[in-house]
Amino acid sequence: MARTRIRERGAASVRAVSYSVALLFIIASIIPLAWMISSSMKDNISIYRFPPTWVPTVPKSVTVTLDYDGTALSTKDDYELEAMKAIWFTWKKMQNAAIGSLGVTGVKDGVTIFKAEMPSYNFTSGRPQIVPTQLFTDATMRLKLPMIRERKLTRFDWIPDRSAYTGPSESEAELPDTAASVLNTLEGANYIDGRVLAVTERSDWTRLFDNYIVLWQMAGGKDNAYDFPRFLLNSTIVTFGTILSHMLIGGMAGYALAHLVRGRASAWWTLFFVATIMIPEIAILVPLYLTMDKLHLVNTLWGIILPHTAWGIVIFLFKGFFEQLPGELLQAARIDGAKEFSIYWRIIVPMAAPIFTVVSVMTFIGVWNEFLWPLVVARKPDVWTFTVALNDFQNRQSMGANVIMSSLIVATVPLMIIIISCQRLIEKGVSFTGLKG
Amino acid sequence: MRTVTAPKPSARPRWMPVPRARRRSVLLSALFLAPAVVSFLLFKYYPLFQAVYMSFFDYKVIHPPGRFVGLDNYAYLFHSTEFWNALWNTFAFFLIYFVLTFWVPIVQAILLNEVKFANKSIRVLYLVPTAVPAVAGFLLWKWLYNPDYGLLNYLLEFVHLGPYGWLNDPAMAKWAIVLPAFFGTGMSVLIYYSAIQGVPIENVEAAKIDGAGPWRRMRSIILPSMKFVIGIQFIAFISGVFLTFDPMYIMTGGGPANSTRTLSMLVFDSSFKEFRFGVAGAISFVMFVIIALITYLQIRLSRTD
Repeated sequence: MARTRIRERGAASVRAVSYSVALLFIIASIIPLAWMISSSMKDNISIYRFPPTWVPTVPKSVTVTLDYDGTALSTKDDYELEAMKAIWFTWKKMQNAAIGSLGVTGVKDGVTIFKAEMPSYNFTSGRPQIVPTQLFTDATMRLKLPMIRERKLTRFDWIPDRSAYTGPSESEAELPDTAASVLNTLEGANYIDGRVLAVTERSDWTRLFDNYIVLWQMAGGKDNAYDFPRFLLNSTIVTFGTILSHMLIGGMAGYALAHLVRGRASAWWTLFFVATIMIPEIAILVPLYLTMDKLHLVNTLWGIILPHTAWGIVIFLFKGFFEQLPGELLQAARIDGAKEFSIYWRIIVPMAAPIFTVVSVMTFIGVWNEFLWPLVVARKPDVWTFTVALNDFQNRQSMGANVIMSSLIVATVPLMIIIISCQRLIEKGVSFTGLKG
Repeated sequence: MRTVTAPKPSARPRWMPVPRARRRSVLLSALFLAPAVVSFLLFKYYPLFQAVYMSFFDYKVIHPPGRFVGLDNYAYLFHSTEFWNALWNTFAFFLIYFVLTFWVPIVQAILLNEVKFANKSIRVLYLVPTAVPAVAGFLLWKWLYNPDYGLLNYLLEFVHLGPYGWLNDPAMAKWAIVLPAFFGTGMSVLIYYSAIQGVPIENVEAAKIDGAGPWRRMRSIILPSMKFVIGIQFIAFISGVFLTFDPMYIMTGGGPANSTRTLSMLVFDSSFKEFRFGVAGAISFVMFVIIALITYLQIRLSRTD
């Protein structure tokens, strides 16, 4: 039997339009994200190349072999200084080239005496302190050497057992670009004693993620304005502190409004809380800051968290939910002699799991995104949230757009996880708040 | 007290003393409400009154409240070109946000309702731009707008447009600040979508039988039944837009040529850059009044409908 369906006029056009609109919006929102990811994997040079490319180039690892035949250097420290000069000064000279990592192998009388290597994320994070200027002398490097050692920026392996050097003894005739310019720089340099024996180059895709490692590396510096992990931690503390306070303060108030306070009083108290939704944040910004100043809470995480305990919408949501709970149950518990607080803790809280999760997710999204209040009240890098830090990053010379993009991605991941995994809860939450006002 | 049943207040004759159970319950409610009341008083009501109070003083942080100046701060505002410029910018932003963003999620939600295949996945994907923290989103767009290395100028070149100055162009900066919001409407789509799910299926079926095609049903059944939600959203939209601070502060800092300096930025600058807290209080109060007025009008208008 042939199945026939009555097709409505206009059905086809509606479908075509709906699907293409959805598709268009999705594509338009994916493009910036894709661009953010691609930018975060680019090196310091190709990030500022125009026309831009979508696929980041794989960074190159360059290894240089230096020959120390006939030099007077003998101790380990001498050679370490040599290696550091060869790596840091050369890199600084060519800081506009895309190098993934730079290694130096020292050879004397046919045996390998040391190996040193530094990946680009260490160069990026150490550059402001180690090579701030183009002054390439022994004295400057001697001054910086302790800092390099302390922060473990450059790996230096002293090879005392004198194994024979087996690597290439001369560069290939057709050197790739990066290796060729390293060779060029080194041959024109007067800060090293050794002679360039060979330069080799290979692609290293693991160096694509260096901009992420830079974020964690920078934390090691003395200046905590670069401590990105700390900013994320601050944001996390603030967010979860706020959620907890909503559970406690908002939940208790909502329960009291729904089941303890009766009649007129309940309506008035509800108005007292809910009317504050109309008070714009910016209107009370200045006096709130002065209040925090009086309470000595400026530049503390408490100063960021505490004002969040006064969210009218949270109390409104809790009250609405608790009102739906059967009053008989509470009466029964009271007759059984349960104390009000244990009723709240033993009966209400477990039953209120749905509203607690909805409120938590909405609080998370709100507080994680929060910018203005932390900007005002957190004036020291110690207590910055990541939003304040990101805004500060964009004005720094030392932070390339590629590192900023990687910091954006790191900040996005937690929110992305919450939003994608709690999509159902969010839908529930917006239908509560959107419909009831 | 062990055998407590909450008595109805109306059941108690006036001359009877307040029962102990009732007194206890009042005490308990006070205990449950106290933390929230303290927090709301301290962090909402007190600052609000303080803001109004401050606006009558040449406020000094070291010796508060400083010299009483009456309405001088307001007079200063109404004579300063900065204030009028910021007010104009705020209204301009309001219009641009309305043109570029307000209607978008309504259309998206109505059309999404017709999407049967992969509906849930599309709803998740609509949320993806929202999953980028707002500040991160603004920085990302700033990077896309970059006149020298930005992706946007590069892409527009293919259709022979541009290059544009985007955020550096006074005529364009406002639009460039609002544009990201055009793509970040995911949450609102969900609100409208859940409202559409509440439309009784009988109404839609009845319209179908009466011969209304799908386009007609959208216009005549679904859209009118969303009126309430749209009204609520519009109120939220007004105050939201009036108070927008983050994108201007992060993307342009008020420039170029003050073309994106709004009232909220003026509050921030006059307090935390110029330390004129009295003036900041005056601007805050003016904003509060404007928003209250618009909201009141909106509610009145939607009532008379």
